[in-house]
Amino acid sequence: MDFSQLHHLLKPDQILTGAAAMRGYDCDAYTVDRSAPAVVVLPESTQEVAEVVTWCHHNKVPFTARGAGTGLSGGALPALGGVVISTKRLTKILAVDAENHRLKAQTGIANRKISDEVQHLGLHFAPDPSSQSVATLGGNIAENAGGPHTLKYGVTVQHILGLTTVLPNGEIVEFGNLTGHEPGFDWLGILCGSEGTLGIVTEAWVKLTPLPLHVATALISFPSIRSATECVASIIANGVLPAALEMMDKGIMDAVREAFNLQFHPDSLALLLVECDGAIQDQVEAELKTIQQVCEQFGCIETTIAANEKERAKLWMARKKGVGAMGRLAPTIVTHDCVIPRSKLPEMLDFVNAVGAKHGLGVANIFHAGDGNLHPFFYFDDRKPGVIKKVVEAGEEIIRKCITLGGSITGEHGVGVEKLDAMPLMFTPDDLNYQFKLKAVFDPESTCNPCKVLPNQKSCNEHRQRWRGTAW
Amino acid sequence: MVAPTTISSLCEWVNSNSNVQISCESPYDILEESATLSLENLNQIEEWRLEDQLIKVQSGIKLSDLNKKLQAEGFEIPIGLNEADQNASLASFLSINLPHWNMQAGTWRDWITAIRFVSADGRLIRSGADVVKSVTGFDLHKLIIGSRFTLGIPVSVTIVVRPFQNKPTYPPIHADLPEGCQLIVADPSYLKTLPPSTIQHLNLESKLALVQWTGDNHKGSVWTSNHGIFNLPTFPPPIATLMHKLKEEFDPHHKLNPGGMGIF
Repeated sequence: MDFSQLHHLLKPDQILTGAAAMRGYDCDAYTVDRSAPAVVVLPESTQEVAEVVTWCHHNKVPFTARGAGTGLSGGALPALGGVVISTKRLTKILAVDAENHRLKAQTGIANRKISDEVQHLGLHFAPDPSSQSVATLGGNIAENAGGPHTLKYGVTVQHILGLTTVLPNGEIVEFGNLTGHEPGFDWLGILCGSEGTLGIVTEAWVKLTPLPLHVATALISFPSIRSATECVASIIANGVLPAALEMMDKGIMDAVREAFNLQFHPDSLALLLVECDGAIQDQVEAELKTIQQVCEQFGCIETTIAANEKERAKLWMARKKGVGAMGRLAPTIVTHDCVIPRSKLPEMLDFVNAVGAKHGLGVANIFHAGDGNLHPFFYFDDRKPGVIKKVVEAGEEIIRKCITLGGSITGEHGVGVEKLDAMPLMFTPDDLNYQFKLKAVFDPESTCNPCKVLPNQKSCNEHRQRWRGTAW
Repeated sequence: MVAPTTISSLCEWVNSNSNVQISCESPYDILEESATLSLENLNQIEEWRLEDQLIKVQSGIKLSDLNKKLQAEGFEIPIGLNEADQNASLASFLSINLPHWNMQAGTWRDWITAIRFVSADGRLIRSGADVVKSVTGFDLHKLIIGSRFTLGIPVSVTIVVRPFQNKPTYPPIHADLPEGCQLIVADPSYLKTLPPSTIQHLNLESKLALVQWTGDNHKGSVWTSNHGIFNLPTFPPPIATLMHKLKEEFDPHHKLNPGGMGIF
């Protein structure tokens, strides 16, 4: 294929080739599998994206959209090579409609920048994935990203009003309706979370949510993982729905203690970070009090309540910096992502720790307990022969256990290439056939981010041998 | 009209019939008279997991029945219901994704995590997961919600429930709808007097307000210019093309609720 034809569509500085660029774009934050693109392009408008996609369509060249590359399932891996379409230069805010609580932006903008832009208006963009300082709006839409405040505010799709999308044939289509309710088929609901396999979203109208007037945050220590996890389901069963309900275990506490000199109760083996918010201070405080009472029933040993914004930020530090701090424990970490009914958390956490011990891997857990969305982190030295294979095997055991407990193989990271093999564990061939039907409506040539989400796509199996486990 | 009592018998019936016009005991269903299939006997609670904030029910269940049982346990369906809606089945709401005044909570598709639907060829297809959060695979259940039974017949539905809020979540506003809505439209600065959680979506330009109101003296409603079957043929051509393609993939013989979507 003569990729130099792309020079007719874009300026020279919008086209990257060469070994360094190929290496830089051969994976996202899921580094186990790698596949280099033939070329990387940096369009600056929807029209330029459409021209590149049209060229790919006419030449049957696979293409893959990429935001900040923070994805954790290989969703931005160019599985069949071809063109990577980076949204790095699609970063403009196009409109702020404060009266109607909405904003339009190009999808390469970082999530956090949206909230920064409207903070002075008392508004924010509610989805808050941990990577929000760099993760892009487009990536959030592709993965239907969540975050710590998903429990109360919902995931990305609940905050999207309209999408400008380049379909795999290059056609530009506006989906959605700024009223938030579109008659007909729910295309927004399908595009959000489709992992960039049905088209490339270049612009989006998002809902802006008022900042809460009152917030109460507490860090609650427990003497065991089991007591903390048992407490989680009970909090909500007692009629309280906090804005955030996050959990960290001893592995995380050790890491942040070493990295940031944070101190915890010496007998603490698990932490619950709880946040309540709302419009009426008395109600917010009453909610937090109810939670404290439930936690006491489950034997919590210490509760620290933030008295001001500075203290609140400090309480959140263990949660927000926990993953980064794990670099202190080992040279490599691998994050998993699955969801279980929250009442199964005690059993699941016991299982995760047993799996880690069985494979000789360090395990730490930091996760969205309120959603039952686990993130077990295996930490290890990848220079040891065979260790990554053990990590993959351990991950597969965890996925199978999640399904056994009635859960889902991914809560917010996506299927990508990482979990293709697990799809048949959740869905029957008939179920998957209907998902293929949807894919065929949008992308009959299978050129748009191929080999993702659905297993056994044409041409993917043989290529997969090339990129599967290239880091092993 | 047939009214199967099991999902498997419904599958068999759909597979062997060429015209599947569904009744769902709905005040919004204009095709009721020509219905050949009723879901009224598929009205069971299949799984009750309030500690997980989930309930799994068959779609013919009446919302009034479901709400009573949930509220007795301190939970509720997040979507607010009008008086007239209480006797309608869950399926009737799902078929049109009817928005309600409690838009702070979103629409039905925001609270449904999984659906088992019967396809045009009588197969039972699952989409989603029975947990509060999942991004596994394409969310076909979101397509089923609002598709007026033209892509599949939802028979088993997993709903996220939330703790029952039997008290106002913010100070009462001294104005009734629609006067309250008009007040806001006329004077946007009035917004500043409202607590943040009150208004989830307000479109001043189109005089549209979707507002959450609670309190002793206030009842809600919904203002939307885009609801109703008769405006469906107004879809932009690219959207209509995609709808036609999807219909051909899911129901190539057009047996599911013919006419139900307005454009096929």
